[in-house]
Amino acid sequence: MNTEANAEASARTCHPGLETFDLHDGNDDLGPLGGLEYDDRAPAATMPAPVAYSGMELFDHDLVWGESGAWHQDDQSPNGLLAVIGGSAMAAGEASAVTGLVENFAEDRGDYSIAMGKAIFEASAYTCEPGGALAAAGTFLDVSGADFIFEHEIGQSKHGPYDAWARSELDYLSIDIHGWSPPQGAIVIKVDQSVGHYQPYGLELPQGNLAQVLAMSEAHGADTLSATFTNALTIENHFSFVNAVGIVAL
Amino acid sequence: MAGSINMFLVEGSSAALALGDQTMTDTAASTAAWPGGAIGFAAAVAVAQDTAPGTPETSAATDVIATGGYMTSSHGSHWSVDVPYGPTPTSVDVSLTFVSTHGGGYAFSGYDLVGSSLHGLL
Repeated sequence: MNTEANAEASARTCHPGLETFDLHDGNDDLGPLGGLEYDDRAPAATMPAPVAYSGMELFDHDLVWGESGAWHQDDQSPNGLLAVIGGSAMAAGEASAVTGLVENFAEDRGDYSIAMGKAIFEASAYTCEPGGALAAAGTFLDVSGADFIFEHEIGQSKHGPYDAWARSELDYLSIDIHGWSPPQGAIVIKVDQSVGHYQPYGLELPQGNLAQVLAMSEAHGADTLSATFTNALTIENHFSFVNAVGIVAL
Repeated sequence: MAGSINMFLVEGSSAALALGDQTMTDTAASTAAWPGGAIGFAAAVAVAQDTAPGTPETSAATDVIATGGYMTSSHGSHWSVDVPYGPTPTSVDVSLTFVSTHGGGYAFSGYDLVGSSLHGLL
């Protein structure tokens, strides 16, 4: 299963001229059935800072590494593997662009089940007036019923007087060994590489207002569920927003 | 000489496919446009069930495009459930898409557009 939602509105505020608008939204499922789814420029100045944040987990059944350095455990579903991954991005400015990509995959391989995926959300904004650009991006992950969870998250953001940029990326891999569980609950290895300020090489300023998101979710096994949800919103000369969620269950 | 065009356009499509001993598909796509806005909605549902061990297959897809407004938004969701084993293997696929765009249109210049683009099920 894959769901794609695109919203694009292009306009020029600084330079009067022809205004054009375009939007596209769609869902496509071309996957085999029965199996599953698918789916700067200027000196620094005081202004709102872009934010890269980690989203709230909808379900917290993981074993996590606490601040005290000790493992602690929450509930764990005994009934299979469930993985929810997603994120959101927003940009405010006369020109803004946000994009989102979610991929989620799960497969029952007999003795064990595996789920993996990624979420990448990016936002950039530009304004003619100092302090008017804002960009934020975030991702989240929740896995239930897994014995091992490997999570890697990268957050980056940058802002200037006339522009702002933020990016959040999350990758994960989880494994559920059938008929076995770690004595102290699921083992979670999480790496967070958030960077406060980062200027990507070759970053191009947005033109117009763009919001584009794509979510794909695929599950293979006996009894499976896969679902995707996408939203995209643009307001000409002001704002762009996207979010997406991909769900797989075995 | 500068000029501008204000026109709302919306179109949608949906498709559903089901393969099995017992199948059901349903699709709908509705659009509406008026001076100042346009909306489009598409839905597709496919259900298939086998009465004997087998692999029912379903696919549902929707697509909606809307242009012309200052504010545009889209919402999409896609569900798929497959239970290929047991006495009655079942597969369900559901796809929904809603798109809207509004603002920035000229009420009178767009009047003619309304009559031609407001339509019901495709």
